[in-house]
Amino acid sequence: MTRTPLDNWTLRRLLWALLVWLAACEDPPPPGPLHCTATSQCPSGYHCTQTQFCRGDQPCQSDEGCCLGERCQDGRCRERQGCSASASCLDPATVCTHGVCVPKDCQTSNYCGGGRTCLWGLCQNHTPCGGTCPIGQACAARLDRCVPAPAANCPTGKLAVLDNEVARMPEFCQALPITLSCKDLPPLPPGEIGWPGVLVGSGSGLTHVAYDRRYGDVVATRYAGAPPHAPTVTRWVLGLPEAGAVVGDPLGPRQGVAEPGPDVGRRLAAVALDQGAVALVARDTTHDALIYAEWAADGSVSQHKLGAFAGIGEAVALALVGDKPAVAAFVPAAPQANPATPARVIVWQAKQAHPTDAIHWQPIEVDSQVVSAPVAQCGGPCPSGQQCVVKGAVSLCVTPSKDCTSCILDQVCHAGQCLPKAVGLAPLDGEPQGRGASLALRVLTSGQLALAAYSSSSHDLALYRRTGDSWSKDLVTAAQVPASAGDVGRFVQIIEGDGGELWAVCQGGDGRTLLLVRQGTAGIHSEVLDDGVRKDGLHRVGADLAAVRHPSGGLLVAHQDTRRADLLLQHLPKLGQPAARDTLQATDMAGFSPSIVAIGTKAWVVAAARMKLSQDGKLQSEVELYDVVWNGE
Amino acid sequence: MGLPAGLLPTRRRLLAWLLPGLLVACGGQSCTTCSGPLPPPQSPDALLLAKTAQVQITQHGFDVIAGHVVALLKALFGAGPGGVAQIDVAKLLGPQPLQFSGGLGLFQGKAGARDLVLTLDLASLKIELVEGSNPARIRIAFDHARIGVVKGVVFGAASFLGVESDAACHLHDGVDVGQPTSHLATLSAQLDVVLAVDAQGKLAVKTQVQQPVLDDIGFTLSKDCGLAECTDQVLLEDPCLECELCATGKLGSDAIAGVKDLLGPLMSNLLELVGNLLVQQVLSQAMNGKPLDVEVPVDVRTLLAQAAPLLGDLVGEPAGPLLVRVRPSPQAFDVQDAALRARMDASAFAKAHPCVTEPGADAATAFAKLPEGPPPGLPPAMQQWQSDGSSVAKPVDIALLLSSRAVEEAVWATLRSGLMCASADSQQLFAASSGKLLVSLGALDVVMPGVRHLATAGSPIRVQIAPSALPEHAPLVHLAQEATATVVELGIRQLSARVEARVDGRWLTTVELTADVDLQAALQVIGGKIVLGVRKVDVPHIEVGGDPIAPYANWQALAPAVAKLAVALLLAQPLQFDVDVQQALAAVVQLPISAELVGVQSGGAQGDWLVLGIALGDKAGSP
Repeated sequence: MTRTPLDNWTLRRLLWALLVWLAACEDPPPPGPLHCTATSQCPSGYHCTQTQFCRGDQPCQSDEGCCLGERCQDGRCRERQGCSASASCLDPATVCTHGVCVPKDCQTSNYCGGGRTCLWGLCQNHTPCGGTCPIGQACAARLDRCVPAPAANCPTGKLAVLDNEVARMPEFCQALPITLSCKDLPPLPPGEIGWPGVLVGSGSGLTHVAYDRRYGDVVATRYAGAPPHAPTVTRWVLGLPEAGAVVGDPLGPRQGVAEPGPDVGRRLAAVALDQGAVALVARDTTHDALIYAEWAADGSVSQHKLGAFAGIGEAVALALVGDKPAVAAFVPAAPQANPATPARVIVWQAKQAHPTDAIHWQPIEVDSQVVSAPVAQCGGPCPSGQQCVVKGAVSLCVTPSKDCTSCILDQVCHAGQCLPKAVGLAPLDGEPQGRGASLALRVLTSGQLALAAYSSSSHDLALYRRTGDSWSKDLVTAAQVPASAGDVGRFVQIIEGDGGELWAVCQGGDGRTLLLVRQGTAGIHSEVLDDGVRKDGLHRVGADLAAVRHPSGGLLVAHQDTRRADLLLQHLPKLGQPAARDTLQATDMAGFSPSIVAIGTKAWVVAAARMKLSQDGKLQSEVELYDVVWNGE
Repeated sequence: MGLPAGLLPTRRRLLAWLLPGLLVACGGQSCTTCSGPLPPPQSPDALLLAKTAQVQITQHGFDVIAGHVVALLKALFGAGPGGVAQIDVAKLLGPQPLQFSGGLGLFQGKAGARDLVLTLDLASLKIELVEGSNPARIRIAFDHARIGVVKGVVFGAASFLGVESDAACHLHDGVDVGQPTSHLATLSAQLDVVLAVDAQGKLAVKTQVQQPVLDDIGFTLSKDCGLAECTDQVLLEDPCLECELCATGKLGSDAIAGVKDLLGPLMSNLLELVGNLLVQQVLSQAMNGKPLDVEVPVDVRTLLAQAAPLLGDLVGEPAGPLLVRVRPSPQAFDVQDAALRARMDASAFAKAHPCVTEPGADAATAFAKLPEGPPPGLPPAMQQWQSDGSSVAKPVDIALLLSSRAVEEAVWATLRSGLMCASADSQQLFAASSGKLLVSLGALDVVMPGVRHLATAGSPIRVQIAPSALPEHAPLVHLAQEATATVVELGIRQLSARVEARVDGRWLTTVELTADVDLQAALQVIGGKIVLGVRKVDVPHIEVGGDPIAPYANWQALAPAVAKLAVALLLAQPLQFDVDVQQALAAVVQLPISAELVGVQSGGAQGDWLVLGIALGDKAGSP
């Protein structure tokens, strides 16, 4: 909207001033600009501006009725006085403009400092106006607010921004027409992508599907199949709101949508489909749902829920039986719920290729495990006069005595010993309990579907094979695996062994060893692939593992050393031989969610996430691909 | 006492650790089982440190023991309240008659004696240490002890009226007859108990009897026709006629010599027999003749758990027990400065745990090279403190001395075993603090901003500690004596500490530190228990190692505070080790003597010996 210098508003104001002058003949208006230092020095209806001249008041009802550098106060527009020549702005990246601290002008980000970037000529620490304004408004970038601008109309990915914002800040701005331009929206801040993540070979290239911990989304990135595997496209495929405004670069993170969606992908699995498409299954933490999705080569995404109930998908696995996907999911036990529910392992078998709805799936509960709720200390309240204490690994009721030298921290003296009072479990976040806490699914060359499920409560591993509609089960207990140290099967991956054997590569030894468990007609056998013994002491190994077989029969296992957070690669040429070990990545926190894809008979690509914490407390994550060549010896 | 398999008698293990001298023979096992061959030591011979452990029995302690030995001797002799022993020779030496070399002037050819019951006045019996003896000698001396005859028969061949026959007479005292001091002879003799070690390293306690000297000899005979020798009926008119010589015959000039011939060997045999009985009675059956190269497995973790249950939960499971080995030094036993000394070579060793970063494989000479002063003289008394703060001076009867070398090696072996590979997670710290301390990933985020992004704020964390056990770090221990306590300064070098977070099913190291930690503790004996109280902890050196998640975190400032917090939480309560010296003593000697710990102190010119004092007394209820 533009006005001529003497429009109706000005005329009304002059008329009003004349009336005031006539009504107060004894106090005539100043013949010219009156110098002032305070509004009290000005005639009624005038105010003292920061430029120290008495000016007539502009009536208003809200800030929008005033110029950009003014605010509406007591029905009159007043200059903002957030800063002045004598009261400078505290933030060095800002400058005082018409009583308002606004971002400094810039040409490059280097000039800004303080983590700000030069955006649209201003040092900004975020996208002004949140990257979007309502229809009919434009963004005043310095003031970081949308203002009426009927002519504002920009395509997706751009924002209408006032070009003459500074000129429209002081009073009498109405005399100036609004000028606008469409500015490119900057990309949203990068995500924290990669953990968990899965690399699959899709078509001639590679696709990595991963969770974005920053936004709670699933991100898919295509890489070239040939080294150095340059990324070609990255799309946020799950976790975006259904209709979110684009407030960032549509080609950048989340396609420019900042509005949060459901938290999807903390647990996920993926397999390659035909024609470069990728199938993935992910847990929707927000809705306690399990999502199946396909990302087609053309970038389109189809998704639907497989199920929705408490805890579903705390571990997931995905395999392709012919052209039909099969999904395994873990539902943790809820021993303290009323009623208590057991842990369950459920397998959904698609009835068709490319399922698009829950009715296209056949679910079956393969196994369940009842998990006991923690027993109360001392089995319940102690008799009168006794107190519940911890002695060794047990809690017991004792009668306090007075024969201790000194007891501290509410310890109870009993029989000359200071014993700590038994307290309940600390309010810590526990792990999902029961059978299925780690899952693996694989289709054998016979077409048989094999499943592995680790129990975080009984610390053992169950191996299943599907024959027709029924599942056979073999339990691998820690007692059967000498190096298990009471725990076998975490992070399990299954691969097809020799002679009909099913091999499970997993962690054992209370997180200290990498194990190979072989299940066949001759029973259970196990080998230690990495005992974690290093020159500088014990390391814990075998986390987040991925395993493939070499065509000559060897075994290639990528896993994480969690003491150093390194990505390790274990080569086992033959059973019974010592496994060689390489460190693929040793900087920062590496080795999260490794996966291995064959790109030849002796060549593989290993993908894993590497993370680091920046000094400002942000988690930076990236996916790295490594080419591995091994002749199997 | 049999023990279930795998259950170590921990209290005795501690004793063996601390009191090597007392358990050398029994090896910490039940004495009913240690009569068999002991297993060969597992620890390397090269680790044995010469003369680094000693047991000393002071004059006062010896007097206490000697008093009981005299009582035991009197009991062995069957002495009555007046101190006069009655000796049934046949019972002691067998029913076969004793032979005189001559015929006492009465009998033709050789005479003999049978059914002999003697008395021995033990009032003059003395037991003493032979000063300067090496091997050590304990002397049991009789000085003119009266020997009397309760009953006895002398017999031999007699010729009467041309008829050859045998005859016998009753033997009676011949000196001070009719007086309370009547006797047959007086005996002066010495019985030495020699403590030695033979070439095979076995304890060889021998008795040596000096030739007894018999004086003041006199006896009388009487006829008894009831004696078998007197009823030969050679003369039908007087069947007892051949024994008439008992009443009428005159003793020949060889009578005195004959009595000496009879009593001398008899007394020698008797004293030797008594000496052997004494050794059997006093020493544990497991001691004599057994090899003294003994290795005792000590379950330090269980010991620690008994001393402080909290620590027992947090310390690591060692790769094996602490192997404490002692064997006698050459010429181990001697008597010096009125004290009986047993000097021993000692070692401590443990299988290396993989968690230990530098297990110190070559430690054979490191500790032997450490400087060491001579062992200190023993204080006559120590202040015995009670839990109420009162104290009383108690004489030191037995002292156990450990050189700093031995202590250093024991600390090294303990580190090497993996015991210090401690671990404490959020739940354990919560329980240990009775619910007052909850440290989770959210709290860690204060130190390492952003770490909460790895998992939820309520995820548990864990602190893991692993030591280095390089022997080159020695000396680790410094002892100093204060008025009421022995100050033990322990410098642990290159202690590795890791802070881990539970992240999606794994313990992920967030930071790994290498620190030198100096602990200062006060060692006392209070109420018969060894009490170790940590006074302060310092972290003089710290560096962040590995590839930390948050390299900018100021661990140099934080670690000492964390260490102090840990000590305040876990070690604020002194560790109390219940040392049963009574049981240890019982494993060595079988006398009704009570034993209690009196005190502990450092000694020696450099203060590099640890001295543990024990007081002896009469065992309540003993006869």
